[in-house]
Amino acid sequence: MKKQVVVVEDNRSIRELIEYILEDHKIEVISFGTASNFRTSMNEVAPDLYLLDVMLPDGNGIDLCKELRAERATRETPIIVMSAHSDQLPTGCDAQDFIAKPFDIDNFVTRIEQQIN
Amino acid sequence: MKELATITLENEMDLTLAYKRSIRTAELLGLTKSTQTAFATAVSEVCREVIDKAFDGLLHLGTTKIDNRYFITASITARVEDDFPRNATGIEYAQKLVPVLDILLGESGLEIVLKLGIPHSARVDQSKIAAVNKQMDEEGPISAYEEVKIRNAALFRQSQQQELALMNATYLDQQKNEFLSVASHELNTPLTILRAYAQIALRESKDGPLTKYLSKIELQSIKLGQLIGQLLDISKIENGKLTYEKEVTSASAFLGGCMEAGHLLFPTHELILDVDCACNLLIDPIRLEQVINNLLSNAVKYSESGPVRITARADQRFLTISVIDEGMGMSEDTQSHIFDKFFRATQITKSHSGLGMGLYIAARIISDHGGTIQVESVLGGGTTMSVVLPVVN
Repeated sequence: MKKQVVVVEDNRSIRELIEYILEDHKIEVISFGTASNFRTSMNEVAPDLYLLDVMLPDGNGIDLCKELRAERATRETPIIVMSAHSDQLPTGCDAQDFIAKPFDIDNFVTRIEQQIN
Repeated sequence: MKELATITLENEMDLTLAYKRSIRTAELLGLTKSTQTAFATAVSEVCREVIDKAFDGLLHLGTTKIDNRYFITASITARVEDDFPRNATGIEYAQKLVPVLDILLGESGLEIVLKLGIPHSARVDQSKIAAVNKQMDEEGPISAYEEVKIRNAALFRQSQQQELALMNATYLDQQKNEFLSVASHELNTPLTILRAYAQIALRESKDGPLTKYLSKIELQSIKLGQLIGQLLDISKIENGKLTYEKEVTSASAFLGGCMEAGHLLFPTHELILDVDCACNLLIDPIRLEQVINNLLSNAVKYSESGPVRITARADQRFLTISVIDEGMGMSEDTQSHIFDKFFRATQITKSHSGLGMGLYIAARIISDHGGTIQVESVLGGGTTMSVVLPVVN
């Protein structure tokens, strides 16, 4: 069965890029462009990994990370936070990994696969 | 009112000053001794009540003209918190001394106006008032206290201006940092897409004719990413947000890794690694690699040919990493500025690209690791950049 990754990223081109890269590696991607769209459907998906952008138009990935950690159903699911604004995981964020943008594709895929396998 | 003098009302000494200034103004306008005394006493009595019962009092002395008649006039303004007692002893006494005493209490505060008519025999007109004004200016302070007060006021104005200039500078600095931070984020987003699709296209080109061009796009997008990263670093340094994740790292393994990256970034340049140490460092490896990369790229950039050597030697306490090139070198004057933010030597601004950020950031990272960074160079004879870091056992 295909692994599934939920991506929350406001930039459409980056969403498409991530979909392209991961689907090429046989990973299914479900994308959301805003925090609120993600929250609406949060309980309807059970992915193997969440990939959250830090800066979103209506919130941020750090808060989403906290919300996912607080829910029993998603507490154990790995989370990777990504940002074009920083080069390391923001302090106090309980995610498994951090990816800085721009990224190297091989490195990006390796980090994702490390979490879902 | 044509104003001739102004006095801030703060303490008892200001009362004496208000009295003396009122006497002098009345005297110069040609009033008799007894009228001078009556006017000055009334003014100082009102001032006493204002100092006592209000805040930020200010006395303006001058003349007003009503129906072709001139009046010596005192206007006392102040800020009141509750009400102002119109029947205060000093006010009632002053009312007996001058024919006009108006108390105006409104939203803008308190104003008490005292007026005393100047007799026609004094021959007051516009030119006489101008002459009085000039003379009072020329006479200068009436007492040592007034002199100090004037100097204090000047110093206060100066310090207010400086404070304002400092606030403006701080505001501009914040705006600049915010701009750097937002700009680097906005640049990184399209760069992510550009770099990733260049990598994807490079893979799909399968060593076809486009491979060479796509490799160039990829390499340049990496370089662009480094420049944007430097902009972001500068904004972090200035906001105090540059943080480190330090770990104990083997110096030789770390430098080996730097060298691998160096060969990828500068494939046509001869890079020689000469490490003779077996010590450990407490460093943020990503940040330190950024420093070594920067030194390497400078060495490559400023030497047309000739090898670039990285040496590492340690004693009990310190490790010295040197990046040595045989390039164009630099003058002593240039050496003294190379760690300044945005500094670029005038001789190389047209011939070599760069923004002057790398060494400023490198020096900051090294000092945040308890180390130092030094330069030794001879114009035309190469450059050695040395990083000295404490070793851990």
